[in-house]
Amino acid sequence: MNLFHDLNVCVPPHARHSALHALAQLNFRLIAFNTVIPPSVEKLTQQHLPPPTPSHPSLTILNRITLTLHSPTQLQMLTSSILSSYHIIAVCPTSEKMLHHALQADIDIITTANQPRPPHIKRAHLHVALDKAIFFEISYAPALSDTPTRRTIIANASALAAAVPRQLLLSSAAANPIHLRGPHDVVNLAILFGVPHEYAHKALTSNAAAVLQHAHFRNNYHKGIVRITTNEQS
Amino acid sequence: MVRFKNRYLLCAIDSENSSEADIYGLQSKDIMAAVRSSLAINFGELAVGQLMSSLAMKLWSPALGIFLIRSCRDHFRLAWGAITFVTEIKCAPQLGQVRMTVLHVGGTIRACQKSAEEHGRKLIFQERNNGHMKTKLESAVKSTKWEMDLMEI
Repeated sequence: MNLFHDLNVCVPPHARHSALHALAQLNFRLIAFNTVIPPSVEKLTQQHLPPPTPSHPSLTILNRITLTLHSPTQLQMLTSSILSSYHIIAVCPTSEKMLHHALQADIDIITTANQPRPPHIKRAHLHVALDKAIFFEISYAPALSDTPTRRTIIANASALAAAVPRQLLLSSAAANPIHLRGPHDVVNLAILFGVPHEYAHKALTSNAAAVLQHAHFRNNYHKGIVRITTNEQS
Repeated sequence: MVRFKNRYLLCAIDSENSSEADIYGLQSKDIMAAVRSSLAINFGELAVGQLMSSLAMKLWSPALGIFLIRSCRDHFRLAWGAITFVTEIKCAPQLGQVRMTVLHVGGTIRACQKSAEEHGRKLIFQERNNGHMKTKLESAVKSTKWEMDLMEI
């Protein structure tokens, strides 16, 4: 699988067209527009439904939601019916306790790398993540803008690379289309951040495909295993 | 004694307020200065020193918006990282933010030339499809030293 995926594009609606143009130029084949739910939100409502998705001849476009979990009262969002209208569900836990809760829920991605003090990932968490095929995300675009953020991201990325080299996912989180970079540039950055060679490339291709597969089973199968279909011939 | 080896990075430059004339006015030393300062900011004096003798701009084609940078093989990933981290060119504030992406990494200039030709072909093809062929692009492609036979397509 040599198709490049970018599962986190945060551009505002008016810049989506130019972002799609840039992503297609840069050789991406599948992207996901991200809707970030801030920590102040405690309940998902109709206004959190995904915005209409544009189409593009050479790109597959999906919708992703990122829940920022700060307090236990927000945990009810993980079972909300609004989530089923998104293809991919990501969670950004701000404390170790929230990370623990997030790992119990049915989600696809954990994103912690953008916080100055991310929750520590223990060995136990790691085993759960491996069992449930949950991936940890590193986003590079915020690192392009200013030095403190860059330091935070490099620190968190190298910590993640040491802890979970196989379960990494690279994405942009670009709010401005000009902050998007080519897939090979991202792989090189990941190598500089300390991700081993063989896993850096996978984090942009096969790991992203694994996330999509996980999300597909979560959305279409009961408990990720059983599906009821009607036999049309009978 | 092992032979000293280089890596050549073929990069494309793209800007926020991209107008043809602005990129055309860019000089190779402006780009080089941006890459060098990014190297110093992100990787420090050690990296600047290590790449001092080998880091050089071998070609700059304003029409295609691509350039070729040479770096020593041992540290080319640092040079590549510095190129990725460039977001602005100090001497050309009218461009706004810029993006530099590496199109090809090669061990020889010849290998990079082939890749550049392909990129140029793709660009011209796109422009033709869009219905507005840039005349500057045509003439500049003809005048590049690389003897690229782009006009045959």
